Amino acid sequence: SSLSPLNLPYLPDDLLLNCFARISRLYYPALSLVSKRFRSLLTSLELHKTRTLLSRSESCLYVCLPPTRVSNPNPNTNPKTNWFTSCFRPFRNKERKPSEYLLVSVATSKSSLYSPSLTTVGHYIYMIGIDINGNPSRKVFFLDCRCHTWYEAPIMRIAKEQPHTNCFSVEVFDPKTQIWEYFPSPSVTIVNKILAIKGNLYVLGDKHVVYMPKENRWYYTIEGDTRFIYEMSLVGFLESYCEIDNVIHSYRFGKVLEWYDYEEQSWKVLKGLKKLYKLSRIYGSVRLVNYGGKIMVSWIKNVHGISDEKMIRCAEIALERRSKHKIYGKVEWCDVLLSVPDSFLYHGKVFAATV
Amino acid sequence: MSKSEKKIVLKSLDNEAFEVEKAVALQSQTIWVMCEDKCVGNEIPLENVTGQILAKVIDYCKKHAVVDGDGDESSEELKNWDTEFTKNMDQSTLFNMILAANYLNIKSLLNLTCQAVADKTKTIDEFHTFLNIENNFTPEEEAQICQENLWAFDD
Repeated sequence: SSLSPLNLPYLPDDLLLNCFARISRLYYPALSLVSKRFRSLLTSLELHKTRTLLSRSESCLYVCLPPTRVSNPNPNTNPKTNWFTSCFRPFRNKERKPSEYLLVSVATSKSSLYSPSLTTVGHYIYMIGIDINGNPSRKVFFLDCRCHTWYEAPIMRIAKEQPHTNCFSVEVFDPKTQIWEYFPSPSVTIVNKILAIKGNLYVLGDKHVVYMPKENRWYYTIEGDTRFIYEMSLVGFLESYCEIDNVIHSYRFGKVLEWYDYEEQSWKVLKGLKKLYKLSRIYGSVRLVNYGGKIMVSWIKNVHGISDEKMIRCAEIALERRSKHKIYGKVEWCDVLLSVPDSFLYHGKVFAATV
Repeated sequence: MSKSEKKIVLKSLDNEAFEVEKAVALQSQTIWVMCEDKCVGNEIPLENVTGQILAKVIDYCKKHAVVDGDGDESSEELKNWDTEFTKNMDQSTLFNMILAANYLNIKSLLNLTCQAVADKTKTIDEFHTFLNIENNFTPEEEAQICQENLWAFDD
């Protein structure tokens, strides 16, 4: 390089933050390796305030792999965490190719926390009912994705108040007030699935019930929803659907991505993805997530010829509604993001946090 | 108004003098305040900016003052001009422009130059430049970082 690094003037923190805020979040993991100052600036709330002011907040992929009992199966170079985030690899000599997306480990403050109940709200990922010695507890933690720090939220009440009832019960947490509230609910004995769709809460079990927040009421059935509830109860994996602009997209039996047309009460194939299916067959355990209005689909792929390794693959799909009953998908990129040992049957939880 | 009242002289750190229209110079909030507060005559000393950088800042202000006054250039053209303006600046110049825009308090220029640095930080060269000047890890820490982040260093 013709540049003499020594001639580079020193930028004070506020000016560096002004520059950083304009850079995609995907570069932060690499940038934070530059220096201690960079590292602390990149995880500062100040930076994220500036990003919000400049309207630079973006979706960011997070993957939480479940802890496994197999000896040393963690694919992570940093064995202290099972959290990963997407990033760009910047140190290549060639021009950027689509193959430079990666999942890298996230060093979080409390790495041993785990619960399969996870959900995301803005830039927080909530972990509900933390496992203690293999048993779920009432403890709740949330990860601030801006600074990768875990905070403890108030504990749930229900488990304590109704320790001996097997009935389904609901407790609502308001992230703003940080208050749990007990929530009267109808009696459902067996719960198979809980879905938050179209702004309502669907509880599918021995009875199907729906909570509609606008009316603050539970219903046993909603007219016109019977077919939809039946279809949703068939969706294999809880995570293999996502909702974008009030439309449910799902990976179903046909090994293709489909969306539910409420009007015609049927599933429609997401068009324009033949090439994706041909090049990288999507199968097995698939995760769909709303990635800022696009679909981020991820799945595990066996590596041809290598029996003890699998790959987590991701594809970002932009959506275009061409007519009332036709939605087209366009693959923005499709890439291998992480290698995992063969022992991984399913690749955990996938989230899009806004940072 | 006489010609001299409409003009102002900006003097750089290395004593280079630039005579510019007042309307051009007053895009800088700092100069605006100096003109208001002090009776410094029509010569303003700018102790933090070199002549080389000040010349570029004046170029920018001239372009933007003309457009604001005459309105004969579309915002599209102005945007293209801005892009060209920063396109070929090396990182050192851009950093100096950021410092100057900050000192002179010209918001739009500060945004433009910070954005230019952000855009360039995507390439390998800029990362290496950053690495060379900023790296303050101990050799042990550096070895550990390389070990734990092979993804980033693996060419």
